[in-house]
Amino acid sequence: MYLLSDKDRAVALCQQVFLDVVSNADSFHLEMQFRPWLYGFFHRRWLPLQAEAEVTPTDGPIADVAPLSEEPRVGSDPSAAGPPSSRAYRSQLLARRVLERLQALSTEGREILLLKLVANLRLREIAQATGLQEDAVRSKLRHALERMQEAVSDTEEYARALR
Amino acid sequence: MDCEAFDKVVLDRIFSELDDVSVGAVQRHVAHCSRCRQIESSLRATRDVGQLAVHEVPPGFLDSVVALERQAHAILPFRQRLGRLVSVAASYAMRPQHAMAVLALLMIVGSLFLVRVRPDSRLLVQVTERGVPEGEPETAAPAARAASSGPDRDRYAGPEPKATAGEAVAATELLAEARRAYRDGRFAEARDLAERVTAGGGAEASAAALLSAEATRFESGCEAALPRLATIRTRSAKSAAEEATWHSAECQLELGNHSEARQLFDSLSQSAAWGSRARERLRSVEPPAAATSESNPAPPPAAAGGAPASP
Repeated sequence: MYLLSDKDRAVALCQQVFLDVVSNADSFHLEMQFRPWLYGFFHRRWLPLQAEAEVTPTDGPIADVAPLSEEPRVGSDPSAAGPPSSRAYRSQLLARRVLERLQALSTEGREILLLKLVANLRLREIAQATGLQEDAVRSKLRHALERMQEAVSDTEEYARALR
Repeated sequence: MDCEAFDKVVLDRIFSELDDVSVGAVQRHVAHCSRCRQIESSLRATRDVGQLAVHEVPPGFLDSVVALERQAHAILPFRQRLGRLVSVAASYAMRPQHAMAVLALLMIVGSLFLVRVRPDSRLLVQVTERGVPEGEPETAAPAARAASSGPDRDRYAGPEPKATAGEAVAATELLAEARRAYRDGRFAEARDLAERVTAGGGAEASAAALLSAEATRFESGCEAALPRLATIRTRSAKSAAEEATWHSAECQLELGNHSEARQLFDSLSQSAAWGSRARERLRSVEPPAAATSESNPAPPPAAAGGAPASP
């Protein structure tokens, strides 16, 4: 979903990956790790879809995020009016910023960041799933995190996390 | 650890993928390096803040996946479906437990070929005193052998079997009877009796063989006796062999084979028992005198007594 920016395409991708897993079940051995094997199918299915998505961009995952709350804010621009007092509003604003920055990342950086933060794969497993070197995975993940940091460094949540 | 090494492991550190030894090194480095401490804390904060919500699986997703899988399986070509079945069966067959079970089964089936068809029949076999199964004809009996006609070299070929005490007494009596028949001129009867003793083996076998050969000589002629004497010469003890050599030489003289006779007498010339007689006969069968000596064979009863006649 975060990768394809489209719910229907994400569902279709997951179905295809499940079919791949079932039809290639005999290629899995006990000495293999399951998650890199599984996300390897995902990676191979996602790459052509991603290339197609770059040709015909959609609204992105932001379109699926719930709209911002009505208030509480003084003016129309929340950043100009200072930090909003509502906690839910701040969470929505943070999620929107994260998703915007996620979309701005490169294809590989976005995939690696999501495999780490959402799928919670280890670095070695990400390297196996994507076919990259482990050092390359580290480099791209650190670059993606630093880009993400630029987007959230002025938020209260970030300041709280620093403490 | 320095800052360069820290940069390589900082992600492992914040995602808790670092081993214990490296964790200690990173902690010591961060404790006195403000730059690395700031990098670690900022990346850790970004990780915490940037957590994304996991989407719920849409309703009916699993059903749609199952339906798609069935559909895909239904349209598989026959060869691919067969290949899938074969690969599944092979994956089962390659498991060690199954391989061991097949091996055990093969061993059990193979052992069935080694089992006798009627194992209880072995218990029913009874043998006669001579070791022949009771139900079979006793073809190895001495009487049956003695009844056979004509020369039989193999009869003397093997080592003399050991006879029991009862058999030895019977062999002695048989041999004595054979000698009596020989002296009375019943050479065929003497030969048959002596052959029975020879077939039974024992201490009298050599003497009986000699007597049988001599009886054959006087019944059927030297040509029939020579093979028997030759067998005794090569297979029997020294005394019997020397006596057989003497009789062979006499037979060769009788047949006119002077050179063979001389060779045989010559082989006896060093014998303690037969040497003097052999040397005397050698002189008598000198080529000029060969014609006169051929007509003087040794008297049969003296040789047939089982011992040298004069020495």
